[in-house]
Amino acid sequence: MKLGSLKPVDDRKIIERVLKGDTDAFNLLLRRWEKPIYNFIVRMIGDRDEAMDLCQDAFMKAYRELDTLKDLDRFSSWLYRIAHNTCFSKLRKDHGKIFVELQPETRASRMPIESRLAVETALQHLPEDQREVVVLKVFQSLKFEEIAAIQDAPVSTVKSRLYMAFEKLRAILG
Amino acid sequence: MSHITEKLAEFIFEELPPPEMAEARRHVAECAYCREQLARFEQTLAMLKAAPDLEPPRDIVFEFDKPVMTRLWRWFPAVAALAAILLVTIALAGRVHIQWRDSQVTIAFGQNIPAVDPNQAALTAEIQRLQGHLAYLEDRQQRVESDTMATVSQIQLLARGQRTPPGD
Ligand SMILES: [Zn+2]
Repeated sequence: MKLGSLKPVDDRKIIERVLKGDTDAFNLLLRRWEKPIYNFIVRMIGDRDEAMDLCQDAFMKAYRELDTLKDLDRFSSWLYRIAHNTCFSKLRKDHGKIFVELQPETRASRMPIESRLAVETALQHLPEDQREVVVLKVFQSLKFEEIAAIQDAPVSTVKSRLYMAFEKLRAILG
Repeated sequence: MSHITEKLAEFIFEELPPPEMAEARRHVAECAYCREQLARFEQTLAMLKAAPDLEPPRDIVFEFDKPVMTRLWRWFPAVAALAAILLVTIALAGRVHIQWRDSQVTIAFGQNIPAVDPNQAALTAEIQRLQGHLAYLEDRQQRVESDTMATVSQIQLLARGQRTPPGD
C-alpha cells in the first residue's frame, strides 16, 4: 500500500508517539520525508541505487537517535543534517569518483530527461559544499539559516557558496 | 539604496524582512544593473528547476522487533473475552457443566460431573502411591539383575584364564 496519500500529520505528534514506544509510527515519518531526503541524496551522490541505500541508512540513524533530538519542531533540519553526514561520509569514501548514472526513463517522464541529465551532470561538477547549498535551496526550498545549521557554517558563507555555484552552473548549462 | 548584489539570493527567495523586500523591489524597478543580475540568476534557477524530483525506487518500511510475548499479550483480552462468551453460551445451552470444588474448576462438556466420593479420592491417592513404589522396586530389580550378569561374566573370564595353560 502506498502511504504517501496519508494526510500530513504534525511531525512533533508522530515523534512523541515514537518516543512513547509506538515504534510503528516512525513509518509515518518515513512516508513523509522519504522522497525529499531521497532526492537530496540522489542529487548529492549522483547514483540512484546508492542513494536509496544511503536514504535507508539515514532514516535508520534517525530512528536510533530520535531520543537525542532536542527540539521536536526542528525534526526536518535534524533529519537533513543526518542525511548530510551520510552523504559526506560516502563522498569522502568515494573521493575522486563522479557518478552521473541515469537510466532511460519511462515514457511518461521522457520529456525532462535531457534537462535532468544536464542538471545532474552540472551539479556533479560543483564542489560538494556548493552543490549541497544549491540542492537544499533550489530543490528542497530550505531557508538559508537551516542550510547554515546543516552545513555548520555562517549564513554569509552559505550565500557565497550559492553565488559561486550559480556562476559555475551558468557556465556549464549555458 | 545601493545595488542589491549582496542580498540578491535573499531577494529572489523572499527571505528578506518585509521592509527590506519592499525597498529592494523599488530599487530593482529603477536599476537596470540589478535587473540584469536578477535575470541571470533567475535564468539559471529556471534551468535547474527543469529537472523534477524523482520517485524513490521503493518505499522504505521498518519492521520493528518487539518481544513475542508483547505481541501475544496484545491479543489476550480478545481471546479471553471470546472464550468466556463461548463458554457461557454453551453452558446456557446446557451442554457444559462447570463445578468449583477444592480450589479447582472442573468443566465437563456434554455430560454431568459425577460427584466425588471422599473415600474414593483417598483410595485413588493410595493406589497412586503404591504404583509409584512399584515402579521404584522394578527399577531396583533391573539394576540388581544387570549387576549379577556383569559379575557372572567376570567370573567366567577369570575361570577361562585359569584353565588356559601358560605358553599355549
Ligand atoms: Zn542596482
